[in-house]
Amino acid sequence: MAKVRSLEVEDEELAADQQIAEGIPSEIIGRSPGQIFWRRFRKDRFALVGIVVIVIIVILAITAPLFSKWVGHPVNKTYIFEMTTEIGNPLGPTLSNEAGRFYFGADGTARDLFVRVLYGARTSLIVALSATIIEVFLGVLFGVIAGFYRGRIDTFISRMADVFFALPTLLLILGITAACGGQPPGQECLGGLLKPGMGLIAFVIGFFAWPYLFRIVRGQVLSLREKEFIEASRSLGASNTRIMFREILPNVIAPIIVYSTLIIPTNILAEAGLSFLGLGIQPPTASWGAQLEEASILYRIAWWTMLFPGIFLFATTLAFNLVGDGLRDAFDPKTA
Amino acid sequence: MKRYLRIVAAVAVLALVAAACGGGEDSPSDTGSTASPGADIAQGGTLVTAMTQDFFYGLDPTQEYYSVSWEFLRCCMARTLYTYESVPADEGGGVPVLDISDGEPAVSEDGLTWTFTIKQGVMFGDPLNRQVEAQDFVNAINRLADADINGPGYPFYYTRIDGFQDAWDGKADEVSGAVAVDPSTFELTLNEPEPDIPFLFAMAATAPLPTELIEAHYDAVELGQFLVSSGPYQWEGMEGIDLTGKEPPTGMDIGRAYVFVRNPVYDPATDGRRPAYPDRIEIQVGGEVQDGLDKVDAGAIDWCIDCGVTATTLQAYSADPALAERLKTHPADALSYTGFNVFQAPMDDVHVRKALNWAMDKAAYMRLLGGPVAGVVAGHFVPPGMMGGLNADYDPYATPDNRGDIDKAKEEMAQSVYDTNQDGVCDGDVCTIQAFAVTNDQDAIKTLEIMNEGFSEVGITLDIQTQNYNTLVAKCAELAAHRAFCQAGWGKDYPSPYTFFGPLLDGGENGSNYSFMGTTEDALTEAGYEVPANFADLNITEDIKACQATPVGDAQNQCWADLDVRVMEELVPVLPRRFPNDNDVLGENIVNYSYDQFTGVGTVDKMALASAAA
Repeated sequence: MAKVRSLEVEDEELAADQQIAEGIPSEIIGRSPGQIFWRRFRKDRFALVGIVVIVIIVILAITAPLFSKWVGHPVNKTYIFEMTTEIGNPLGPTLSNEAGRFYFGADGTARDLFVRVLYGARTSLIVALSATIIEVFLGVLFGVIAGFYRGRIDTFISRMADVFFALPTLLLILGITAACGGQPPGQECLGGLLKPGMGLIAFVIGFFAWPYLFRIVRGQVLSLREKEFIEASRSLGASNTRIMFREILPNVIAPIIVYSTLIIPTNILAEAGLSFLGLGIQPPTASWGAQLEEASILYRIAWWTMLFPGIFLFATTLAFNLVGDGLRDAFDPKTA
Repeated sequence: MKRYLRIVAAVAVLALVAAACGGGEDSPSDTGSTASPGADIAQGGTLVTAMTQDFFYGLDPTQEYYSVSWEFLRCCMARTLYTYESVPADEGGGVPVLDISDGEPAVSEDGLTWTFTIKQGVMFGDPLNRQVEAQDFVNAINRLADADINGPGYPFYYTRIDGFQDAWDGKADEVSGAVAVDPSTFELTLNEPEPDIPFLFAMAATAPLPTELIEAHYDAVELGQFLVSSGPYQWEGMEGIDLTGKEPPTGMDIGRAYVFVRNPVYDPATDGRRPAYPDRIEIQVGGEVQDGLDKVDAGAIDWCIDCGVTATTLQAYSADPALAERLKTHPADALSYTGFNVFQAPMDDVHVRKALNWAMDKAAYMRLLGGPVAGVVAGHFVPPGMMGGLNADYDPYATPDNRGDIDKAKEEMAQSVYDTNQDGVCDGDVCTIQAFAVTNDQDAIKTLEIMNEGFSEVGITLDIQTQNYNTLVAKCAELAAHRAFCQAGWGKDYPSPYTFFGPLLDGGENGSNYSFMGTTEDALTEAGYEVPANFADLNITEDIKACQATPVGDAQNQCWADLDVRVMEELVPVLPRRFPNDNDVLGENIVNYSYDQFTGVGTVDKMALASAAA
């Protein structure tokens, strides 16, 4: 009879490997996919750092009004006579100004840059997450339908995706902004739904990017629909809708989550880029992109106007990228 | 005039203007220029310049409506019957003086006929090399009246010339009131007296256009590419060019670079106002403002024509006395203001307009745009110095230190129909107003944000949005767009208050009038407005005419000053913010400089170079 020995070591995988190397059969401990995922993910230190950074950014964004109150500087209030030189150039970080503490100094309009950077985090996260939700919703919906039904429906949706791929997104944003911006009340585009601001930017970024996730999901669904469990569900009388969204979709969650995490930083940068061009968030709403645009003129005499928004933007996008990479590695067994 | 004002915050303090008489043909040395101490002023050298914004219409004199274009036409390529001394206003720079006109014109007793004698020796340069003739002036007026060519210009000033309106309306091929009596005699016949003739015939659009040129290249912009010069310079490459050909001269690379060389047949004895110091003038087009200023600093170019001064450059130059000498500032005869659509709620209530005039913190605004050197706070409508010094200190909404007075603003708002409970705060959705700034125009955005801080105290909230320049300007000038509030800047077309009152506050929907005063009831109704009970009061057409009919001088100045008061206290269609300045940052190579008060640009031909004296 073979000896069975359970080794009590911290790293059970290492122990299992050791046992295999020694030719000793050991106790088999079953793990759920979630446990496997988490074990792999937590080994990725970069991803964990990313998580921490994201949590910090989110907390700062949520508590921005509290910080504003703490330093006593409303987000849009100017301190022109307190925080500019006589020729109107902003002053840098200070803890002893007559108007209080300005941890990041003043921006070009003599507002508290620290408060505005935190509010900028709200803008970036709200726009990026909203755009991601729109993109994921449309991409998954169309991907599942196209992949499941195939045939004419798949052809139609796939060709529609090709059209969207070919659309010049930036020009469309320019056009929509020009056409729908500044309309008098009562004459706005789509009853006011389309007007320059956070809503428009989130919509445009998300709406024109769904084909990317669509292709990924469609590919996965095409593969899954041929599996036996699908046939089994069908034979038990399950409807197509149930099969698509109760059987197939849960098996596509992993790549959706990975992709979603990876497109968030892309969307953050897209919003920042549009705001930099003046096409996105309207003043006085704080936006990292708009802050960097202003800083591009001032940085030689006010380095803080570029440094702080730049650091936050960089850290946020890097953190999401690290988390996304970590998720991808954790979900994909081939990289184990 | 809707002029393209410099995009960078301006610098300097106000210099009060004293009227001065235009003199005869002064020697070049007596030109009011500022020479560097100990510098040798000599002709010669190459003036190397840059401009971030190209000429608007290829230096087509009929079409150009841009200060920099006007300077290059005035200094170098297109002499006119009258011109200016191209010096600051306090040295007489705002008074037209004779140029191609040989002596004062003969004016009939009724003021309806003006007869000019063309000075002999004023020559067109290469390839024509001939005397300027009366027919060349007739050509210019006829082309000015061609609506197909001249949409963007300023033909509306010339409608008092007999037949001009008919030609504009397409009812006649030529302007009957502009006639070449003989090669040396140019005659104007008017349908109404026009005392501004000297101003109007100092404008580039009236510069003589040779028949040979308009027959070969009549179309807009194209004519400018082949412009035959009547001034001290011409395009490089004009010698030997085939005027009927398609290839422009080598010095005219539109949108990229321009080179001016001396007009070989220009006779300084016929001029006396243009010293024409540089032998050659080079212009590079494009780039960013800061790049242009950095090139000046580095000595790569001598002058960035339209760069003005940035916050970065201002910081460096204000800290270093040696650099500060190279920063030249002058009042621009311009106004930065907010126009109120007096027919659109809530700006259709004069108490709201007055309240906003009280509420704005102009001191904060000025500081943010460059501090004490950004110009002066504007307390009224017409820039100082344009009315002979009258109203210089007039400000009916003056507040301590120009910080605004919220109490007075609330007192005014409480009288408004939009303050339903008379608490000094505007009530209702109508109190949120769309306010537009050009995309990424930081100064304009800052201005709105400062205004919003003050206006919010009286319940007016600005919904700030950005738009591209063309859309913003078009919508602000469109009655049907129902914009209550538009930011604007304006510079004189010529040194008369009429060029402010007329385009900005009269004529209804004229493209520049954001108040829409002077519109018709039909136009209002068609645009979806209700005609207000006080419609007849919202009009200054007759006041303008009365001032124009007053003889030029103290009496006319007083008339304009009185109208200024009426506008500011009774009608209040504007919120004047500041009278800005023009700035030039000069390279070390420039040892002589003057400011042309008429164009609002450094005087190109008076820029003497150290490299020339060496």
